[in-house]
Amino acid sequence: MPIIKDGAIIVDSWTMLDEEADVPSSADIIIPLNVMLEKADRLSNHSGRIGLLIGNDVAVEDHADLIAKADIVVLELPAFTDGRAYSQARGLREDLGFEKELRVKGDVLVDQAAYLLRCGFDSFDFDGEFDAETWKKSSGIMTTGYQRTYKDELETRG
Amino acid sequence: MYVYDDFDEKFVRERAAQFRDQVERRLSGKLSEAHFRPLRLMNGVYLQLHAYMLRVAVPYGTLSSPQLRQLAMIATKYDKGYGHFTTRQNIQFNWPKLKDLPDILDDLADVGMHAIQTSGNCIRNVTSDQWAGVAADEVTDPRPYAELMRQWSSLHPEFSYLPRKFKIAITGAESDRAAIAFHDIGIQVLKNDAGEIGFAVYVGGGLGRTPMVGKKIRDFISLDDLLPYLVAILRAYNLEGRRDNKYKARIKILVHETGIDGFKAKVEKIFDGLEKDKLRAPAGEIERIQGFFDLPNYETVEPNPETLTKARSENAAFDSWVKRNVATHKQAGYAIANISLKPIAGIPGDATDEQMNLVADLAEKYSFGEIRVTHEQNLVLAHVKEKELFELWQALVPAGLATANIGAITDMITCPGLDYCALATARSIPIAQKISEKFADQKRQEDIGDLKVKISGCINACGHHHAGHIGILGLDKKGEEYYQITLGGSGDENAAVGEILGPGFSGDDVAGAIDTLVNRYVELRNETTETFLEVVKRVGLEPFKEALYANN
Amino acid sequence: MAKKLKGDQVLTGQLLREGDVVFLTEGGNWSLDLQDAKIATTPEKVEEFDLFIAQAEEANLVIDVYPFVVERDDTGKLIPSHIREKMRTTGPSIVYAEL
Repeated sequence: MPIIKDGAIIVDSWTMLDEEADVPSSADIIIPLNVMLEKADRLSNHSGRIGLLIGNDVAVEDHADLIAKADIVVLELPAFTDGRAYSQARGLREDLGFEKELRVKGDVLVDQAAYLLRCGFDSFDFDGEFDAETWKKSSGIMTTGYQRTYKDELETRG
Repeated sequence: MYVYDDFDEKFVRERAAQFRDQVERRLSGKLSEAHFRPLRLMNGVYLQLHAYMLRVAVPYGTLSSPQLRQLAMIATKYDKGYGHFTTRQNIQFNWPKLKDLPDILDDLADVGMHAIQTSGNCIRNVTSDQWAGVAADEVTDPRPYAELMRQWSSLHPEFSYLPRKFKIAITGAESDRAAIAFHDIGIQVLKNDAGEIGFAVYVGGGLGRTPMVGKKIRDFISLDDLLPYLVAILRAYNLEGRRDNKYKARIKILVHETGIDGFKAKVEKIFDGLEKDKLRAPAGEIERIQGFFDLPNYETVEPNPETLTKARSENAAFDSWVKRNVATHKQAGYAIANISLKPIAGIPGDATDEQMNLVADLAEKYSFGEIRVTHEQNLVLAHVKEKELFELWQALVPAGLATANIGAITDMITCPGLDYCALATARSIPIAQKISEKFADQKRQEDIGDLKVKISGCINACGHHHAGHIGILGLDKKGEEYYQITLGGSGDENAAVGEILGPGFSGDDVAGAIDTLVNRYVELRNETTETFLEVVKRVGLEPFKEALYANN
Repeated sequence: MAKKLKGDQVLTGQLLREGDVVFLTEGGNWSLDLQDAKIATTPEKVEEFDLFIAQAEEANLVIDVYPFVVERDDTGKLIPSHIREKMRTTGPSIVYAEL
């Protein structure tokens, strides 16, 4: 599945691990939160970067410490109509002050890109096909918004 | 009323361009129907029984004359020459074509209007008291706060993919004309002892298949904290509202299942953790908005002028209209004139392009160019000099807009029902027409007094039947329409859900059944001033059941 | 998926661009008139509708496609059996555009 950042497909180094897999010591890995909670001590000597995959039913403020240490957080969009990740993202960015990469994975529609960016996501893991031209045109139409968000804060900071 | 600045204008233009892009991608096949559907719904476009339908937002029910003329133009150019005013104070067009919708949105943007969030699982058009700013019983004008919430909720990045639709209503008066108890969030503007503005907040009310009266979650939230507190409620709902069953996805179910105390605890926890400064309106914004809602420049005019008294005594029809349709204004010498869109045997809430143009003209001539749409599907000219009421009425009569029935039995809320709606199980409009004919006699209507009849063509309750003093619900029994009758509902500050009387009636028998109920009421009332609802509360359902079913 | 409804069936949908109600014809086109509709009289024929539903989606011309049950009135005219489809086929039952 293509990873999109700044409107283009990128190759990145993150490897998504499931519960069964062993953890290579030097890889940049994304681990589901529940696995992390169980195996945190086994990762104490891990030399690669560590990211977290957080399910939609997790209250992010309950895991502020782990999140603060994560190098990337991935939130899920199981269906494009399921908006829980938007609230989780704002909680992470605005209330917990998480500043590293925030990725959304799943049924992402180009028409949602502007909302997702404003909620603080900065990379997209697409389920479907990615069309750069449509993305560029359709995600950039709305340049105005009534709500001040993380993205506006970033832009203000410069 | 509120007038767009450059920012608002740009926002609406961009939104129209965005929808044009989405429609183009849909028509070219780049966007599937499954993906397009939620996008078009969030822009008020439904696929109904016979055609597409477009619902245009009328924020808190306030329109200017140029805006109403533009709606008339759209009705003429793209539709069949009429529109339908809804219980969310909006207007919908029944026959637009998808290929024309981008142009219609541009035409709306030309007058500072749009169709944003008039449908879809997002925050819908914020509604309010149709008499806001002029009602004699008002603490303060709620419209500036309604406008603040309109802006805040428009294309909200976090709250556009909620579990289900989300409706907010706000009132500034003790008499609740906005049915705040039946909203996902209901807000009452208050003033504390120090004279500061604040808000009582209710949550979890709603109609539909599981009607519930909203519960109070905060007695008094300050103006500063209003938007952060709304964020906390919406976030709790967005994260925890049910997504497994669309019939259990409204916030009322979450509040019900969690209990108001448990839900409040969740909201308060989120609220405590919010960086509130970032969520508040920018400094000076509410004052800027309030500047648009200054009262118009009223003239000093004599209250209750001789000309009015004389016209009333000489013209019985005008006198009836004044009694029923004119309400007290807080400015001496002025009145609130309600224009009924419920002509006898007409289609409740419909207005032709000609009628819209006429009302726009009359608003300019008599009411500072401003029109209100009510949730009961009527129009209001909110600032008419008493001495000009007779002239106004004379202009309304030939257009069929002078029916003297506001709040009376023939002033029914009626959903479009199976004549238009893809979800309906039975027709509503023909039922309303038959009831209207049955009670056409003005004297009888006046004798019956205040009686709210509300008709829905399916269990989703768009016609607010649960809140009707008499509620009528159309259902489908093996391919045939039949109608259930409820009694004792109320949508005001004493909100209550009506109770089902008994077995349903066929479409032909409903008007007769209502006649029976009304006759029973007339027999039961202690004096002519005791209203239908008061009698139902006093005697209960039994006497009415007996009247309806005794012979069967 | 075409549902296994009891009785003769026709296939209906709405034009994507206009929204008008249409019916699948014998020739595989879409007509505004129910009387032109292709009628499926056996479960096998009803099942064949699935193919047309898929084609309609592919062609991107007609949306919200589904079958419904019809019967014939005394004059031999096709009429829908259910009130909803009756309303949908004949238009609003009220006088609407001339208040």
